[in-house]
Amino acid sequence: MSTVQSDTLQTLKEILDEVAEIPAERISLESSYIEDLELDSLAIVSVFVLVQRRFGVEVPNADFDRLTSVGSTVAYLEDREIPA
Amino acid sequence: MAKIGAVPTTSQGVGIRAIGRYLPEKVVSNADLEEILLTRDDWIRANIGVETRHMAAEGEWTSDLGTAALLDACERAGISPAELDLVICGTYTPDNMTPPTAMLVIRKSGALGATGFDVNSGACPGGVFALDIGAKYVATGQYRRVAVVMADVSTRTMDWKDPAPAVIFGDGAACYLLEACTPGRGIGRTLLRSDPSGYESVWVRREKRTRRDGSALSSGFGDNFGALDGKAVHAFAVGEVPSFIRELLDVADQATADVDLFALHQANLYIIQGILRELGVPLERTVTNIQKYGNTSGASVPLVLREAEDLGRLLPGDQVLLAAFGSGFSMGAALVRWCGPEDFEPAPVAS
Repeated sequence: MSTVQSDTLQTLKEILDEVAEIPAERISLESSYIEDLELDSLAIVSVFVLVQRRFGVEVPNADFDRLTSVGSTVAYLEDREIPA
Repeated sequence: MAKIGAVPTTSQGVGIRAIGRYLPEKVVSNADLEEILLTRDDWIRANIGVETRHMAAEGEWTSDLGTAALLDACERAGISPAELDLVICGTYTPDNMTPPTAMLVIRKSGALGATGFDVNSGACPGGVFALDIGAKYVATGQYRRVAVVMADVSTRTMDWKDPAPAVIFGDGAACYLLEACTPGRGIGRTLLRSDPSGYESVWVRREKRTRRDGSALSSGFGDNFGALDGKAVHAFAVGEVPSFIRELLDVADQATADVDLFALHQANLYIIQGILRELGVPLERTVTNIQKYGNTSGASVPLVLREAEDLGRLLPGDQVLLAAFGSGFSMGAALVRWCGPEDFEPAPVAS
């Protein structure tokens, strides 16, 4: 994993701690927001509000609806990959 | 003075003579909420349907909202508050734990001489539960003129870190003014039901909360915080309320086609649409106000009725179905044959 990726994941972990007090050790690239991290839809919105603020990017509703895991969010932020 | 026993006959109906309303002056948009909560306007519109809500001013409490709604109802009916015999206040956010908020509404409105008490039937269901209690007092003849005041300052129960309840609720009040009416008109069959398995799904929870820095957090009600499991409420409302409404219609030997207007609790725009879809009722047969007011708890159903009346969507002789549901879980439904002024005794001429 590159330094850039680590930074992105690290910031995402901080956001998940702030929104839902999820310990960093529970979070991996494979973690899904709903099944693994037990976030509801409102909490996921909160995560993406902070993602927009911290990363300075616009994440439209249609995009974050498809970003269902930590890994897909990291790929989106780093490479603008949008899952099908 | 209270005119106890003034209308002992059982042949008369009980009608809603007027509905008063009050919304606090301050309007809070979703964009305003984005400033204090981690939420988004587009998400709220797409998932809840709220665009703005009203919020009580500092120092403005449930009794102030309720008093304003009661005075509005009296003005519409052309009566003085002093002519009220009973004031029932439906609220879960009393000004103080005791005496009842109805006492302050009586004092502030000048309804002196009226008897008063509060009904806590779980916030949102109160729009029908409290109405049913008031109607039964009129039906027995024990009280001639009853004001059922639905008022809450739900935004005072918020933990502003928790977006779940904060994006949904707004403050507001409404008042049903009930009197005997022409037989066959007014409030008909009602149905009330409670299921405590949903106790923790939408509630004001008493617990100690802290901020991230460890300092104590409190709401306008101290260690009491509004809390909501949106998914559970949605499943309950769309899963249970349609069959409950059908049950009432069956008991009354009526069909959905016989109902001119469905006045449903404004829990969430998509819950309202889901209930109507389950019932096979087109959206044109309802009026919604959640877009402007949010979920105003027990006031939401009478606020819908008032709005429908003002829009000309509710006319004398129309049959309207009221359904209020939520915290408990509880749900209440009522069939009402809407009254016009001719269905009531004329208001006394002011001397």
